Amino acid sequence: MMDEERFKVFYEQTSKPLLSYLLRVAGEKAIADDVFQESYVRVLQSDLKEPTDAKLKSYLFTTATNLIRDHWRRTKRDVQWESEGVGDIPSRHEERNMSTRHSVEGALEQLSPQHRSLLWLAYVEGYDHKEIATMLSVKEKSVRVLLFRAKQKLLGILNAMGVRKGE
Amino acid sequence: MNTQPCPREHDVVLALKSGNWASELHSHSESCPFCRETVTVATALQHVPGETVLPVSYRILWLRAQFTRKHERLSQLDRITLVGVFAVALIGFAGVVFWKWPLVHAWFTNGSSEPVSNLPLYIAAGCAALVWFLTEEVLREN
Repeated sequence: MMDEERFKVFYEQTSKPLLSYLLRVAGEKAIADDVFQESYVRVLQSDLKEPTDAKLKSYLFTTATNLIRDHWRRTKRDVQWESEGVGDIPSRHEERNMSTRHSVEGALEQLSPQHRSLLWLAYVEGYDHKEIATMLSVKEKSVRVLLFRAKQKLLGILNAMGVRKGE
Repeated sequence: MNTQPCPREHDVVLALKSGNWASELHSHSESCPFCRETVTVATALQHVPGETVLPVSYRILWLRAQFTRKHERLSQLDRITLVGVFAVALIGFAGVVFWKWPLVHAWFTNGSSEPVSNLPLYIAAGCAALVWFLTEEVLREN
């Protein structure tokens, strides 16, 4: 188990990116907060051999993704993890950036949680296909196809909303 | 539908994320249709406002992990203790059977024996059954 000082630094580096990810994928703040806390506790309890920061971060996002997917499958059986348009994405930044929220977050809301997860891990966190495949427990080839579809879908929605490159 | 990504897509995403563009990669991202789309999507997603208020401090999570770890250790200790109690009860029961073997043998072969002389055996059997009932339930809970 890592020492407290290292955990403090790790938390400072990863907490905001993780919470951003969870809020976009979960669609509910309460669930995102629960999964957020549980993910860190599990990282602290893990027995990773000589973990680097990158390995710990990957483990953190993998754990969070598994928890949120399990929660989704347990509580929302009528709506699939792969289904689209399954809920609002909460934001506390409405007053700060209304246009971004209405364009990008509004577009994300129309995607399935799985597509949101893929897009966020690939294009915000910068994980490659192999890492995402491990995180989502799918084949690397499947990640390529799913990510392509998710990207095309988001592009279509963004284009329909009139968002152009750089916005 | 061609889903084959550009082999440089990941480099483009990382450059976009860090802001460190090699000029050649930047030119590529503008000329490659696949990477152009990636830049549009990644830019849009990376501009979504980040979170500023965290639900909990690191210290709370640290203490919670410590508590959970200690609780798990105690649970393990409980399990070991219960297994120990059960083993002692079982050995005791076997001891009584061995000690009263002529009675046990007679009881099984004749189908009956005097109630008073069988009393220790019944008590031992009752104790063993009780211990089993208690430990089995707690073990299942753990």
